[in-house]
Amino acid sequence: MDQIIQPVKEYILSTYLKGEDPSALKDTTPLITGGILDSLGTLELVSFLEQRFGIQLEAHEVDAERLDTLQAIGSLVKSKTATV
Amino acid sequence: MGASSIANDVEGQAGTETLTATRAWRIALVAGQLGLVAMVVRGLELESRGLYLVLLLALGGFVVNALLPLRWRLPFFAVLSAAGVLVALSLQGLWVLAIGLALVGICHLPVAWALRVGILVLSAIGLGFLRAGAVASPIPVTVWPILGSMFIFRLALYLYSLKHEGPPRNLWGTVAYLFMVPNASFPLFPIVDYKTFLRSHYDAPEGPVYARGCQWMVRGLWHLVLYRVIYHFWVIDPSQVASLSGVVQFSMQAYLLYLRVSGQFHLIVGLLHLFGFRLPETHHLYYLASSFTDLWRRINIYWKDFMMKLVYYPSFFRLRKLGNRTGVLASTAIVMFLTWLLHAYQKFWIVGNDPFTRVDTIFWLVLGLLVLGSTVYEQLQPKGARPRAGGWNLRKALGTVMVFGTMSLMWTFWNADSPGEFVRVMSLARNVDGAGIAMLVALVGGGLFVSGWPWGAMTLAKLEERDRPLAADFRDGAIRAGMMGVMLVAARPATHAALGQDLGSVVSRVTSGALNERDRTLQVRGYYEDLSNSARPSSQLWEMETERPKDWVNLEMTEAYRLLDNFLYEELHPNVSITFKRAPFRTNAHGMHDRDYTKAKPAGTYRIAIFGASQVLAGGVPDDLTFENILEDSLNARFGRRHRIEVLNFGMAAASILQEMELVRQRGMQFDPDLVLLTSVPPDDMLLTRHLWVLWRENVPIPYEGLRLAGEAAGLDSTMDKATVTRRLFPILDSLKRSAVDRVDSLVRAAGGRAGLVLMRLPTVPNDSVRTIAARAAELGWPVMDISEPFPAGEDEARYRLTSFDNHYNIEGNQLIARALLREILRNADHLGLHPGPAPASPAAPAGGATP
Repeated sequence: MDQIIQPVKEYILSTYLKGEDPSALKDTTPLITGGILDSLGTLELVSFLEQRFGIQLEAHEVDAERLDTLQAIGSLVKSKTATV
Repeated sequence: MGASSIANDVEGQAGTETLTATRAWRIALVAGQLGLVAMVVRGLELESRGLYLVLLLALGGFVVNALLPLRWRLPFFAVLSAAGVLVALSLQGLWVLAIGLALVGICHLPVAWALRVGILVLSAIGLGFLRAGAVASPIPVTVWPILGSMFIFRLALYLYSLKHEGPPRNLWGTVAYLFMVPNASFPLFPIVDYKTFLRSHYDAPEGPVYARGCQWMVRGLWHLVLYRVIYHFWVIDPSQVASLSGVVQFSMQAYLLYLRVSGQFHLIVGLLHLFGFRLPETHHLYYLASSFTDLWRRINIYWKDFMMKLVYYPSFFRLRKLGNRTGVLASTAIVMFLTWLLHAYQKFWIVGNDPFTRVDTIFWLVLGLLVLGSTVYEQLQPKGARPRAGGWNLRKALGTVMVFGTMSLMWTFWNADSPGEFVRVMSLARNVDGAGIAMLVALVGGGLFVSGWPWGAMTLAKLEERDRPLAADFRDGAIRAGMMGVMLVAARPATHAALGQDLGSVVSRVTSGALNERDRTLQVRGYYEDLSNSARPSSQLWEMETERPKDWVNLEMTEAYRLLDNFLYEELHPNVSITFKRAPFRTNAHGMHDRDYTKAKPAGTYRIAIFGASQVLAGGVPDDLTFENILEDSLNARFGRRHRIEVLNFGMAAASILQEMELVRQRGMQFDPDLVLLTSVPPDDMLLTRHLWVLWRENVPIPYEGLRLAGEAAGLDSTMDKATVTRRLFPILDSLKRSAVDRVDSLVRAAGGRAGLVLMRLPTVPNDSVRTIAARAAELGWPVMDISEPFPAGEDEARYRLTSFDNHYNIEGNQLIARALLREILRNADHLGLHPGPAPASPAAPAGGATP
């Protein structure tokens, strides 16, 4: 799981949270409902996940349930890579 | 994980079932605050009485819910929500429940998903025909806005979830979601997402969730109080705008009035938090948005999320093969286009008529272009740094002032009668005045200063949902209770009295649910004009109007009404028998809403001819129970041995004082009245300007040279809108009223009769007209009979009106004013030449029981 979460965390810190303390971004920090990712940011994250992990996401999968936290993203990517 | 499984996976939240001392205190604290919210809603007459009752229901429901095992809470909330529908709408709520459950049934038919969607679309079309009144239906008109707010969008989210997540394990979550308390009290309701609704149910420690719920509810109350301040003390009518200061004031009012919606949404989502639904914020510092995309994300966040889920993401995933940037822009354009269409769709369910207007179309087109432009700009910007706590930022401040100013103008345009009226009012900014300059400097300077600070900057640490100590609940609860205590004290009449006339009046208006001056005028104007596509009322008046059934039409829509091509302009058809405002309405051979009379006055008869607007016409009560018929019976009971009394009703809807005068001249004097009674009712200025506006608009010949010359001097012509005519005539209205009274005085004296004036007002409409007519009548020696306060002390005036959306007197009201007028006539009997004969052997009780 860490192999998924770590690069995503680095991506978010370097793209949307420049200058933030990396340790403050927890696996449970709300990214969408907390306002870190807006709609454009969410779509950019989707593109990142698809390219980085070679998966394909559907429109209905782009929601706070699946993408709101690093933990949720990890689970989503894991489930997708398991089926690839 | 599917939504249903989330909904059923709420057990195991450690510490949320066991009733420890801490939990007991917390539940008591929250219940206390919810009780105070309900008291404030009642004390300040916020929203509807239905909301107060629903809050009381929610108060009991909260305690039960908090004490129940977790697995029972969602079913309990479903039952509570269904009960809330009945509490808010009484038996009419059964329609909402029945139709709603039928729609849910269609969603679960054992056929393909697409077929279910098709059946739902057909059902919506069928219901739409009923809503529009195209097909007769027994469904009360008040049901539709609530039904619409529950189902038109949430059902789409529910269907979307059914398609992608599969059916729920049980229907408790479905019922809870679609009927969720307190929806039945709000025609506008945030579009809560189905999955979020179920997923967030007790998914975090309850303490912070309850605390946030209380916080948002109290914030909602503040928004509603601020809305009241704006509504009563900032809002002006377009006809009152004359210079830059008026333009500045007018330009901001519509956008500021949006506070009502954000207040309602805070109350709603706050209440849902108290039942464990950890939903996102609905509005977030939207007046401080620094770009149009920022505004889109801050204002009505649930709408944004709804469009993202159902339109934006699906569109983007189809279009991204064209490139991400193109995909984003095209998806944004589709979202803005559908936002316009769906707002119109929503409006249709609330008002029931054609929702498309030119103003709406232009508004959404311009807003769409601004959001698109802002999206392009943001895409070109380097991203990364989140707003951080720190210093003042000029760029942010400039952006915020620019967005606020633009949105204020756009919202003003959106609420204008027409694009032409908007342009006309804005053009008055050329009349620069000192107050206008000062307002602009203060607003721009103050706006820049305030908005440049990093309001709402969030740290990552704050985003973590942690439990909170009970001491924090006590502290915050005490602060909120203090705020609500201040509101409740402010709402007490004793406080208003203690604050003195001026300040007391201000506080009284803010803490009562009364309409403001503009809406009161519009409401009265609505009795004579179709305002559905012009003269936009506030949301408050608009909601009242939505209760008006289709058959409750203005007189001009009936066959009893006809237009004339002379100064009188309109009259009643003779010998018509119709149903008007759900009561029999019959006119006699002379076109009066009255009994039959001969034109020649019978010997020994004392004739009173009474003239006035709709309060004299008295539609909506059975013919024999109009106040003038009751008065006639009462006078005959009193004076019948000496005189036969006839009271002739020359009332005509919307009659101005000039029309009363003309009616006296053209018709009234033919009946040889002994006493001519004119009546004056607020807002008489509105009736007068309406009359003159239609005369000029229709190029009706003006037979009075003075009036014709005054109109020419004011530059009136047939192309002018009503607001312009009103503004230009304003300086001469008083002299016109005096002239009208003088002319009636001459006519009556010449015929050897007497004249008098009756001052009236409609129930719940304040008596705030300048009584120029009364002053002139008194100067001429007329008896001025003031029956504008006929209501028994301590009684609710609303009891005497026809309905909440029609303030004309009902049967009891007509009895009341008949008694009041009888008293005044008796007081002036000698002056009027009325002499009582010997008392009748057995006094006839007047019809309607109006024994004086």
